[in-house]
Amino acid sequence: MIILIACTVFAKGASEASATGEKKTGTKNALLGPGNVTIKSVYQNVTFDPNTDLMAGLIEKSTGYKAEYFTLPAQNADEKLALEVASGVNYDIIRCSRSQFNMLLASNALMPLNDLLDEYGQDIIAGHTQETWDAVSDKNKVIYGIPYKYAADKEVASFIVCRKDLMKKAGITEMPITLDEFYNTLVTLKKYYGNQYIILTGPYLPATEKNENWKFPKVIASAFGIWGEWMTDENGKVIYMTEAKGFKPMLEFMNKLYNEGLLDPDWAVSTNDSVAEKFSSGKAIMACSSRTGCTTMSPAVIKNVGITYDDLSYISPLEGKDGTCTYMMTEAISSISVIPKSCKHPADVINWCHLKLQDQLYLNFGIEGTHFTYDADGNMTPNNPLFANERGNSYWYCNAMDMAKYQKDWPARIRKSEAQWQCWKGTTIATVNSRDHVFVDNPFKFMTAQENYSKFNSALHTSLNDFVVQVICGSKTVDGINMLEKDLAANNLNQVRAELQAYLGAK
Amino acid sequence: MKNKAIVSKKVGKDLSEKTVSAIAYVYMFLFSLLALLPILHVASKGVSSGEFVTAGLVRFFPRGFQLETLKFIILGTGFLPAMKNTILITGIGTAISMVTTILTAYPLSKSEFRGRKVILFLYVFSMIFYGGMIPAYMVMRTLGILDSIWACILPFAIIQFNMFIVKNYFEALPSEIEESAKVDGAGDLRILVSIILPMSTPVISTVGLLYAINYWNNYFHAMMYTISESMRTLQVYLYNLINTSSEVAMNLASGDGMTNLTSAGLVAAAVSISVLPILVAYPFVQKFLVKGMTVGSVKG
Amino acid sequence: MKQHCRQEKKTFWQYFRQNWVLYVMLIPGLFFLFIYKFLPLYGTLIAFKDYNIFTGNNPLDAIAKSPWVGFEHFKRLFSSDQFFKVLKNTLVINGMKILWLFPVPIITAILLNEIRIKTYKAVTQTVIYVPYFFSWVVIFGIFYSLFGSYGIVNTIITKTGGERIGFFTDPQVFRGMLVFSEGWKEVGYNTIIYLATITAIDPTLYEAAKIDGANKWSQIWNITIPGILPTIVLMLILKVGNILTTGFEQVLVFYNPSVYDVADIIQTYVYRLGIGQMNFPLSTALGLFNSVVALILIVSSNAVSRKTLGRSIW
Repeated sequence: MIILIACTVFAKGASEASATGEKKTGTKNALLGPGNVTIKSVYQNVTFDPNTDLMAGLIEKSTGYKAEYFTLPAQNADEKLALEVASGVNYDIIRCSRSQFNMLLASNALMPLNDLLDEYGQDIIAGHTQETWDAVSDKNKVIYGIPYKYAADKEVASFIVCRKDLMKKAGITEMPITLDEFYNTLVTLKKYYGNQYIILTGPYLPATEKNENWKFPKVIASAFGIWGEWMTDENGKVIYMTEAKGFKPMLEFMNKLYNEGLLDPDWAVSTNDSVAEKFSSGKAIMACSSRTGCTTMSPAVIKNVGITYDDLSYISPLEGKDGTCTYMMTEAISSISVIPKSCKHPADVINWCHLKLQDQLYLNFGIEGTHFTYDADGNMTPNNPLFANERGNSYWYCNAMDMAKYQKDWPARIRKSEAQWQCWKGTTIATVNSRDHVFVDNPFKFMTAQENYSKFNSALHTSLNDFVVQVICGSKTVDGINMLEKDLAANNLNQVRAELQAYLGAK
Repeated sequence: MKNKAIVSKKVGKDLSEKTVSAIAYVYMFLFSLLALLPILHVASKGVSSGEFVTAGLVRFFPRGFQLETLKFIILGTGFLPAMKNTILITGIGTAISMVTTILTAYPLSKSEFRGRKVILFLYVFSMIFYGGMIPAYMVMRTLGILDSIWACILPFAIIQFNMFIVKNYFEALPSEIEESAKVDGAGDLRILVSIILPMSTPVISTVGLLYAINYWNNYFHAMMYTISESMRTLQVYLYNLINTSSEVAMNLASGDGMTNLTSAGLVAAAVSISVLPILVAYPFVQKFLVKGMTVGSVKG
Repeated sequence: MKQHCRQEKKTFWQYFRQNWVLYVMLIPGLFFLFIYKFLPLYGTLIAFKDYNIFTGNNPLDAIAKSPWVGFEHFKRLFSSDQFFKVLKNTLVINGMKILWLFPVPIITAILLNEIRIKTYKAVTQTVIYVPYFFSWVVIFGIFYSLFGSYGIVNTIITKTGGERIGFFTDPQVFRGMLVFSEGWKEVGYNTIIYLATITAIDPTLYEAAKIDGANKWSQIWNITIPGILPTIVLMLILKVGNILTTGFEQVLVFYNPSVYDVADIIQTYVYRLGIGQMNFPLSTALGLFNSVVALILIVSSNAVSRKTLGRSIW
């Protein structure tokens, strides 16, 4: 007890450094224990007050630590975080996005975690693969954050939802699997219904954290061999989407659809809400969507038009000529929990995360029998609505997880909403079961922070997407690709490419 | 306006007056309709059933009336503290701002005030040049008022534009009253409070309203300068809600029914809530706009 | 403007001693102005430095410790071949807004003042100023459902045999959409300001004019408008001064890639340029450029106003 107090006093004195001060070893690793310290934890913004939510109480009871929670705003989060960390606001643990992590890492503001994890977080280390840990370390294998992976390694995150009942009326009995079948389906629908319905509306930009949002359907891009903005060709060379063989043909295909009236004429103006409106009111036969979108679109259209879930079908990644079908795996690190250098009790922070991990089944899913049950195959089924009410917000509080265990039970969170479960079944499960080969591994999924990539990739992404939309809607032609490539080069495309190539080479 | 009525009765309304009157009534009617319909649309969306809202089938009246969305926002754990903070900020802030503004506008409204041009130019200059968010943040931090209501109040203790409005108004007041008061030996402060202010109720109520609106609506400062959840203001709460509305809807969705907590519905309800108090406050401000010049009018 | 006769010219200190109360009154305003507006101007230095927020002990210290790069950020801003196009768009769009929208609140305030039935006046006044409180995101939603390709307006047009108009996708029409939606949002609110000034006008002037035989139009032209002229001048000069800075939020929400050519303004262009990076220097440089232009515009339009109308903001 006396030693503990002495350590506390010593630790307090030793940590008078400013936000980017020197790292002090030894004293910082002393564990103060639950009840002696309040953990200050910050993550992205959310509507409920994380301090008064049910989960906060459960976590405090389970770990014994008091915690104070803060949130970053919905917009300008990066700037605010930078300002606060640079001016020395006292956070103990920050759960940040990849870009925030890169920013904090580059500014030398983070505490290395190797020793702390060895001493207090053995289960945390075991919760992820070595590859995942490398992604949050620097060149010398010094770990700077605890990763949190997106819960599904293979998901068809962006797909097309269709009104099977309207398609049946037009004489279409099978859902299209190849691009040609898809085109014929659209043409048939147009011929049958004329201007009565919008054939395909979009784009829908999913709110899921990890993937880059494209303003054109990924399930169509798959048919042209386009699975990412940065891809590798057969020789392992890093290419940008504009250099892919299938890029021009894809643009021409989409433009053809637009000109023949098969796409929503407001493709360039669409927002998620407007796409949802058109599908939910029954105005559109097909809509680009995602899990988030279907959560409200599906029940809404069912109620408004008077159909059932059996009348909804989904289009998964389409196959192109000679069977080309590529869809990127969604395995990625979605957030990283870091400890800033100014934290005065990092050992307790790690301990807190460790305790939460050990209790993760209870904290994230609840009690067997009350909140969920296991079916015959060992799959978790939630008990609605108790599951959503009492564990719905648990995702916000996760820092360290035994990822393998979590991923196994995670589909229960999808199961709590019938709409989500239906589209999950119709797209992800169907594709995994019958066409698993379409999933392409993302070679950059665990890439460490790269300077030019962090700086310029978002601007490149915006230019690319804007160009595709302009070609689709006809305000630019496919030949405009030369101008686009010039713009991209001016925005450091080649420097980013060099970094990515070097990363692959060093792997 | 009694004088005017008597005069009107005597002289009678001529054609031009009737024409202008008619134009005014029709114009305001059309304009109000143009403004009102979308307002009704948004308000209705906030209390309509989820499936109609998502499908864009709500026109000007609620369909499938429900209060779940509103309840979710108002009973949500962040709402009441945020509301309390905003009310405090608006109340205290408007009071401070009005005092500062009136005190500044009065001397500057006197054409013979020495140094007038320089100070007015300073005010104009400060309206144009902005040092950026970072030094503003550091000023707050150095003063130690980060994460408090003062960080949301003090930057607006005086808004230059509002000061100019008050100054213009003071300049337009007839100078005879002031002069006669000065002859009677009254000091500047006394003149300001007992004579000028009672004659200025239209501008005071208007500028007071402008300040109140500013404090009520302010999002950016409140977002940047607050850290703890308990210091959130209403606008920050609602803004976050609007931006995460689809995630909120997804996390709360359970079962196979249609939820009333849809992205579009939450946004519409949130916007309606934030507008309501200002809407209610306006009629009170109205009253002062009419009284105006009749109080303490000058006759000889 | 009030005129005072003074017998002799006083020195400044004599004036000060006589009217020291007035100077004391200025202190609170100047105090806040200094702390919250002038002190932070130190941050404009960021526009000339390679600023890294994490150097030094805190962000302010970082300004001092970051290296100078002179006008490099400005060069990056102006050297792009897009710059003149977006500059032109900014001037055209904001110019259109001033041209079409500036007179409307004035007319509205004058007409509103003519309404005698109190409740009618109060209700209409309240209703027209509510749109100001809707954020642009919400307003976009409203206008899209009205003017989108499948919106109400286009449904009426196609039903009566016309061709669908792409209000949001046709470059010819889009700027008009920006002007109209801004009008819907702001006119009612701006009316309040003019209305307050109208009530300051001495009602005896109207009585006297009536007795002299002036009709309503003449009264409005000769009494009302000169009475609110200072406010009109103030608002106009400020609007012209801000011609480069306004409209960002609206355009960002309303525009889309098919109308970039006509609607991309300086700030949206810079926004896309710097997306994903926290480029404080670039945005500070843009802000500084905008401020300098605004200062020049305001000073010159004020000089014009002084010469032609005898009115000056300062």
